[in-house]
Amino acid sequence: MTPARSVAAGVFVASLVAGTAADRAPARAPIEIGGYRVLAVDLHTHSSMWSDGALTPWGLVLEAERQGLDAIAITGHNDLFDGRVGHAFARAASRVIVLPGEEILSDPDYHLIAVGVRELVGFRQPAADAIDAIHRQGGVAIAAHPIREFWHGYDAAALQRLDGAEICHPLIFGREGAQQELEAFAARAPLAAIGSSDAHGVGPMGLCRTYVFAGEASERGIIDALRAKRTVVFGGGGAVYGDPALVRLAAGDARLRDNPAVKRKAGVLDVFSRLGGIIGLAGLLLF
Amino acid sequence: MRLSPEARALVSPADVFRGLAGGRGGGAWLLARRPLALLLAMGSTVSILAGGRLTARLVVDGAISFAFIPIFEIAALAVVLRRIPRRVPLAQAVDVVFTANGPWILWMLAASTIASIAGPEELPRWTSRPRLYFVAAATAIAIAWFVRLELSAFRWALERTRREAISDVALHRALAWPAAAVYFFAFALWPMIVGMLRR
Repeated sequence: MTPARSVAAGVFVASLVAGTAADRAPARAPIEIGGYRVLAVDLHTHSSMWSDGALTPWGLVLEAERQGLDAIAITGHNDLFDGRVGHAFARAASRVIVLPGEEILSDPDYHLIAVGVRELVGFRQPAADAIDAIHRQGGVAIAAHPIREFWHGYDAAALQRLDGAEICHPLIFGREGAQQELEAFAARAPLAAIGSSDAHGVGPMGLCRTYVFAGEASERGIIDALRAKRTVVFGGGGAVYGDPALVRLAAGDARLRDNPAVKRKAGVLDVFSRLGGIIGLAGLLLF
Repeated sequence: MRLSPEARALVSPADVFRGLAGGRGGGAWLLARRPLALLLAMGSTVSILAGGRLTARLVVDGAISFAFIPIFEIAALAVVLRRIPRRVPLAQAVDVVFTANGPWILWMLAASTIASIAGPEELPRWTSRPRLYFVAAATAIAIAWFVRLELSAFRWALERTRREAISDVALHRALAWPAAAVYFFAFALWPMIVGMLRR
């Protein structure tokens, strides 16, 4: 190994050690507000098995811990396998609750999140029928990133049956008018406010998250709270969405308002691990 | 200071791949070293993009997630090698052809740099227009550059004629890229295709 390559390898390894040392889940005490257990959940995540994500199902669970999430739904594209894998892993090795689910892609009509289902729901059917199929399994149906191009898939029958709609999604940070379109969709029916990161590996999981006001910290507790629309979401520009009574309780609570995926202060180890890692990797390519 | 074959191949591929011609035997390390380096780069990129830092947990997880890429590349290369009359050990061919991955590593370094500078709320902008056009252009450049390098690898290191090298690369790409896309997008692929056709 040349001296320059040795230096590059050393910088890379030092960065990896620094980043790994800083890689700890934030300490969080359970949050109780208004007699409810408040859980931070991300109901729309994708794994690399096989849903064009960048992390394995067990990697999603471990990352959820680091991002201060209490629960996630792993929602494979027209697929339940990764959700089942993540669910089994979490039960064995994590405090994070994993809800099996799927993202039903019925392009170009609708994208629909099914949370808490055990059997695949067909994508070659109108949204209302897919929602009925989700409900028959005891799950909840959430409109995924319902920007204007997906509206036509949700007719009156589907809107009447929907449980929730994503009102905070990373699209609001990148696409002009997305926030207004999500708000306009949510105004069409009484829907639970949902914040989801649609995590594929670009950007942190939990960037948008839902605070679920559950009777208990369990899969059933989360599903029941979603069905009862007991949710609060902190969106872009300081907006807060959800059940008005719960919004009043939650809006000023810093434990909920300060999203660790956004507000976490990058420490020296973080910065060194990122920059050193890039420099080390570039050195390994060059030399 | 001597640059690596990957770095030199970026600017003068013919010279580098001529130097890599000839038998260097086989062996597990020769077969694995460049695919592992590619996986290290992919795992590191995933770690910085998804977690905002370089951690062993995310690097390994990202490498596992994207291990299908070198696996499909090597499997496709094994098929292409069957067309070459003189026997070229798979390990040697893998070592040579994976030297052409410099443009992809540069692409990953650029993505990691952007992710390091951008905040969590800034990163999604790169997945929407107009910045998505910049990402698409960078990807198109990486593809063109990589294909140019792979052509040189077949032409000079594996000692194929120009026409044979073009045919080899075309077959390699026709096998490896669709297989990787089918694996990666899996069940979403069909609805995506239907959606694109109906839009």
